[in-house]
Amino acid sequence: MSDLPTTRWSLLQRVQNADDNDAWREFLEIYQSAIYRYARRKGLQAADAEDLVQRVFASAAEKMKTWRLDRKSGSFRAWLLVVTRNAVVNAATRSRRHHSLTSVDVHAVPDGEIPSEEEAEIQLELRRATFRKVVEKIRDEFSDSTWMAFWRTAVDGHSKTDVAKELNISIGSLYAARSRVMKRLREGVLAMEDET
Amino acid sequence: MSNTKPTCSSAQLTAFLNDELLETDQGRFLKHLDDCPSCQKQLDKHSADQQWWLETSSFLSDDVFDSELKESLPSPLTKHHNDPVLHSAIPGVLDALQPSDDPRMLGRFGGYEVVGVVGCGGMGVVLKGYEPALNRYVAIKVLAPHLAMSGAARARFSREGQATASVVHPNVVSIHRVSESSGLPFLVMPYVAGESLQRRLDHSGSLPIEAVIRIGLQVCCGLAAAHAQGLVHRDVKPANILMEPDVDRIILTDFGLARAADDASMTRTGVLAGTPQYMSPEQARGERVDQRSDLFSLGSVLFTLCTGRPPFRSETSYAILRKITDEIPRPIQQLRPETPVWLIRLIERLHAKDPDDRFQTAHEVAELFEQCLAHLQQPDQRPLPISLQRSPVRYRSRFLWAGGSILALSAMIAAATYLVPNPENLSSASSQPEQTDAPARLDDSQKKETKTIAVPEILPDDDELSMSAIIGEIQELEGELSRVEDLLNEADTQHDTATESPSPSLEPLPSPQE
Repeated sequence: MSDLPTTRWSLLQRVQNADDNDAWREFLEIYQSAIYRYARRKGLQAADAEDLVQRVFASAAEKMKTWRLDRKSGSFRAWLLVVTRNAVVNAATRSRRHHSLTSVDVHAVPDGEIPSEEEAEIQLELRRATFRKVVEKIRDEFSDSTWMAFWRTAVDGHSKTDVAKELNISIGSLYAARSRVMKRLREGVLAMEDET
Repeated sequence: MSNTKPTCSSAQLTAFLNDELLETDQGRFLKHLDDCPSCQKQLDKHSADQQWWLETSSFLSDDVFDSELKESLPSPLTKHHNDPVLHSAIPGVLDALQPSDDPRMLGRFGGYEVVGVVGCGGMGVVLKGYEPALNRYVAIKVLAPHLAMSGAARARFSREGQATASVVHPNVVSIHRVSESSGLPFLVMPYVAGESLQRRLDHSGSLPIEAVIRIGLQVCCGLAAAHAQGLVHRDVKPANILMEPDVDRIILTDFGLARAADDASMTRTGVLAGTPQYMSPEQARGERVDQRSDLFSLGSVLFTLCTGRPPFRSETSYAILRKITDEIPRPIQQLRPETPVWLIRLIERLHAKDPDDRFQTAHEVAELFEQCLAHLQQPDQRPLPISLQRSPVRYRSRFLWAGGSILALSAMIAAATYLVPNPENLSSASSQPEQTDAPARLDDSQKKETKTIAVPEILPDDDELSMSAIIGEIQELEGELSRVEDLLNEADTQHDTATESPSPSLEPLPSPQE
């Protein structure tokens, strides 16, 4: 499976431990948001994309019960991507009436190649979802003013002098604030990509 | 170490980012940073390279799917504390099923055949069940296994069941049974095959005005019944309002967060209860709420039904909460110009930040809705409720009669379109004696503010004016203008007077008394 990172093992290990809800939640939030966006970008209606996410996850939950973490070939992540991609293709090509009856093929094996273009798209959505997840996690580590300094300049794209004025802080403090958040964000994303 | 001069050193930047500078050094560094564009740039670079900044901007900006994700799935940016955890509850609940003889079923639970999983509610998983003895489908809400271990959660769950069961009303979901199986408490309710309002919004966008009013009326009736039992729903939102198929009835469900109003014991856990988007300001601030909080949420639901989008939207739940407490939503007229002014007024009253400024009871609002509905159906015989009528009614009629004042009208519209009247001016304006069609005089402060004609008459004679009401009036006036022009043109060709044929049927408002 080319250069797909081998599954987020540690997270999966924790996910298999059914009591670990945090792990499961992180896993869900990242993947479902990524799958949903991917499905929508592929032209599925909102309700159908939502449906698809549910079905993919139902099958994932099923699969995870039997997934062996020591398995060398293929990864859970790769498997999930194939399932997602197949489900999206099916849903997009079948008529609305029929696809709702189609279940996700749980037994899909990750040997069906994902065209690299599609793989890149899913990877992009995963990375986007990871960024967002990390943002949520680290938000509370910063004061409102620090956070706004970062968000207004780095995300909203407002001018740094305007934002500094708006927040009533000096330009130096603004740079200090936004770079601190960025450093934390970068570390968070790297850690999560590593772990999950 | 602390007396190094503030030079531009890469080591210093790294130390700063790692929070390794002494306090004095840090102060000096920050001061230096104010004046050193090179260090500013370097600091950005040290925190993350260009690629990261680009990705940050791209990945974290809103995109078209954000609002959908926030509604339909637990989004990474909106802290729906419950839902994601609850997804993990599904396998747990399914594990608790006993085998069924019927191969089409997932299993059995509490004596019901389980047909499938409907979804996740406030505190648990909802199963679709079949009750063979009564040959009916039911919805079984099972407390999530990880919550079932907590005594407080169990207590709350059963309180929820009992509380909802005590409300008997066609617009409130009824509870067949409160029980427990395999250590998991559950509630049994009728299975409603219809869709939630949220789903309806998702696939068809905003609703026809009459449907909005019918739904509003029924939600109010359901809320009034719950409030009468001392219950605050606390989570009124489109996803919790079900529409029965074919029948014109809605059912309020998921009193998942409802609790007796005097039970404040679990409010201060620090966890946000409820979806932020439809919260009231007092909920957003974590304050004590009463039934009027539900009315605010109802206002947000009605707004969403009219416009197809929730009134308070943002990147993060934190920002949503701030908007709820601090900001006035975008005027409905801008989003859906044909919305009747009186409906907008009603929503604005529900949306008052201070509960004292809202309508005080759901019952009161239900009565208003009834009158509005009657008015919609028979505009001539059934006037609008007085509290939703204001000066624009009288104003409009005068304009239709004032055939000669087209120029004045145009000037006023031009003025009103380009000016945003300042609320302080409005109250003084509205206290002026009623005038007819003359563009009114100005007092000095208004002159200064606007430098042109002010238009006291288009302003509702109420203190609580809002931009949206004003914009609505302007848009109505523009419509009026073109209609008056049409009439005049007609009159020209027919040698008739323009004043004979205003057509009240075009108006959502009652035909004026002349």
